[in-house]
Amino acid sequence: MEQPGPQGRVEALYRQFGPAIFRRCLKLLRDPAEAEDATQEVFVRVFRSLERFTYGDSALPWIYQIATRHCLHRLRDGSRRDASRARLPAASETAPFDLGAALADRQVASRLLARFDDRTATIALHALVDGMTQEEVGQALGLSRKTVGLKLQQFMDRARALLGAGAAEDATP
Amino acid sequence: MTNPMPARSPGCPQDLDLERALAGEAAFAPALAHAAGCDGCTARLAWMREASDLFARRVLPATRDAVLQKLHRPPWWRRALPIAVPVAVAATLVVVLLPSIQPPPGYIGTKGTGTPAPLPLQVFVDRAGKAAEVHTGDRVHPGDGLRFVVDAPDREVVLISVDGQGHVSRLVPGGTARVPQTGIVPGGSVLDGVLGPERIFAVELQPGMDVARVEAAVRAVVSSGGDQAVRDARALPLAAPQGTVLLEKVAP
Repeated sequence: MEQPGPQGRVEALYRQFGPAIFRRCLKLLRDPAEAEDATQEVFVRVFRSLERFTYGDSALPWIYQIATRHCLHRLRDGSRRDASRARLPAASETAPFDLGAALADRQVASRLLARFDDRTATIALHALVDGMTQEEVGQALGLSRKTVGLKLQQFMDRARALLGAGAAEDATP
Repeated sequence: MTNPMPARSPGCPQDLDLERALAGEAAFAPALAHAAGCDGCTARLAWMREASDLFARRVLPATRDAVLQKLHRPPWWRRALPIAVPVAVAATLVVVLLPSIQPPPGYIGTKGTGTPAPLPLQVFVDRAGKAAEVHTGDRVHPGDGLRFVVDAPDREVVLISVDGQGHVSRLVPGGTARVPQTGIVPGGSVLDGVLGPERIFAVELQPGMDVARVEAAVRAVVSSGGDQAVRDARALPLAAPQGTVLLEKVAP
């Protein structure tokens, strides 16, 4: 049987992994057009690394993390690109004590995530958007449950304070 | 397709487990069995299949050529190397051979902590897929993508910027990056819409120094406020090798 050329190999892998990448990007970015852009960028990154990366019995967990990180950076860049969104919405606009719901709002998610380091932001995405338990997050990221719990608590405390500050700003005449 | 993916309920498989099940990984087949008897997971799988369909109908045809082109073309930084390397060599020669000349506008000294080594910093702007080096005083536009080359192989550097409104931004994820042998810092940044000067600092982290300390130093040097403070902020009060480039952000 004839082996596919380089172009055929790229296409085959894009068909194989593209749907999973697109789903991950669509879930986190919540915008089909942006998810489309992100999908091709993630795939290019994945393809360039496939040859030299050892990923065990499945590439999907690794691809999933690359897509998650890429989308996280996109969300942060979005907050940086649009200066008009510099203010966090008031608490009343976002149900501040349901941070999962707050992160479902693209604008809020961008502004919040931009204020945390990569690790903390990724933990927050997994726990609050993906609904993963602390044990699952720790397993996915190679961290102890204790570390995950600590980082998550830091995120929630600071996020609530930031959202509360948004409400206070609005209340100021 | 604008509806979000239905949320996972406690005890249900993770999204990744469903992905692996859909990919045919036998170890994750129980996730599909669970979904068959779970309304929530049935809805999640329906969303995933709808997204697959969208990928096949729209995303794949729309992006296939761009993906192939990107993979068969060297990355922009490699295409920029013929320009970047001579510039870096020339900059190094200037530093080594002409130590007595007055510092150029982009040179960094320090106040009260001795003279730190300069940290050669190059900034490239990515416009329509073409990389061009920008120097102090050059004009850039909102939305321009930036990449950085720092001559500090295997060192940890902080890349940070400040604008006339006093906004301090981390230019790489987490604010710091370990510089590879090529000097090309992983990641990059996209310029926001605030017009006026934007000064970029690269600082080589020293023991006991962290991003927050560098950010505080940046805020300190622009504390007088306004565009002029940013243009004048040529040095950070840190005993660390540092470099800076001042860009002027104008409307396209």
